[in-house]
Amino acid sequence: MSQSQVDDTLRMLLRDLAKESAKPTIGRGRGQTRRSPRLLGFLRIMRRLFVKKAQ
Amino acid sequence: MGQLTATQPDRVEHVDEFDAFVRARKPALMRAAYLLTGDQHLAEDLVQSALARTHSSWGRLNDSGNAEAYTRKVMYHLQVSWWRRRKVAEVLPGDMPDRQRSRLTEDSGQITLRITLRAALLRLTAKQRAVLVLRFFEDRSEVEAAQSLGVSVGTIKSQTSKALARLREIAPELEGLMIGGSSK
Repeated sequence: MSQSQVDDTLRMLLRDLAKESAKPTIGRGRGQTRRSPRLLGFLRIMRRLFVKKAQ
Repeated sequence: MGQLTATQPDRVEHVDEFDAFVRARKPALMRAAYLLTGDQHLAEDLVQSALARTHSSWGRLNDSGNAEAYTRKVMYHLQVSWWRRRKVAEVLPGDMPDRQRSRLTEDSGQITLRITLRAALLRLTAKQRAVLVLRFFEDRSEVEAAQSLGVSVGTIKSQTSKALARLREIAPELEGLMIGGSSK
């Protein structure tokens, strides 16, 4: 293996490892949603308004 | 009071520019910091500390266009000095993959390789890690790396060679992939 091949492989390995910097450290818990709190609030109000009216 | 009002637009502009700089360059800074520290939280701390220093000299740095280079330089220096301060506190996040069982399968090869490299990097000294990141991740020349770390070119050469030899010793699994025949 030539020196430049060695350098290229190390470069590739380091770049691959560096991608981990963008990974979330703690996974989303079961049942947790991706929706924003604001959206959830809006949906809750809409549901209250329309579901109550329908009842 | 009048003076304050006159300088405020400038200040707001500086804040906006700094904000834009952080948004644009933080992911790249985080990648390098992650390789230097081996931990996302430490990487975040390192980037934040470097950015805080950049912020305090923002006017000068922004005008000269050296903001990123300065931030990276601060990062490397901080990392080496933090490591010196808490040499004992730096621990491996886990055991090295068992050498007997580390034959890379097609499925888990890349992951194993990543874990092995990360663990091996963490067993280097902060300076050796910094040299490898500068030379092989940031593609800096020996002269540029020497300027960034404030050391001589000779030191960069010797640290690179020591770092590669140590990697070979710590993680022979990587040998076939990257450091196999180079020094033989």
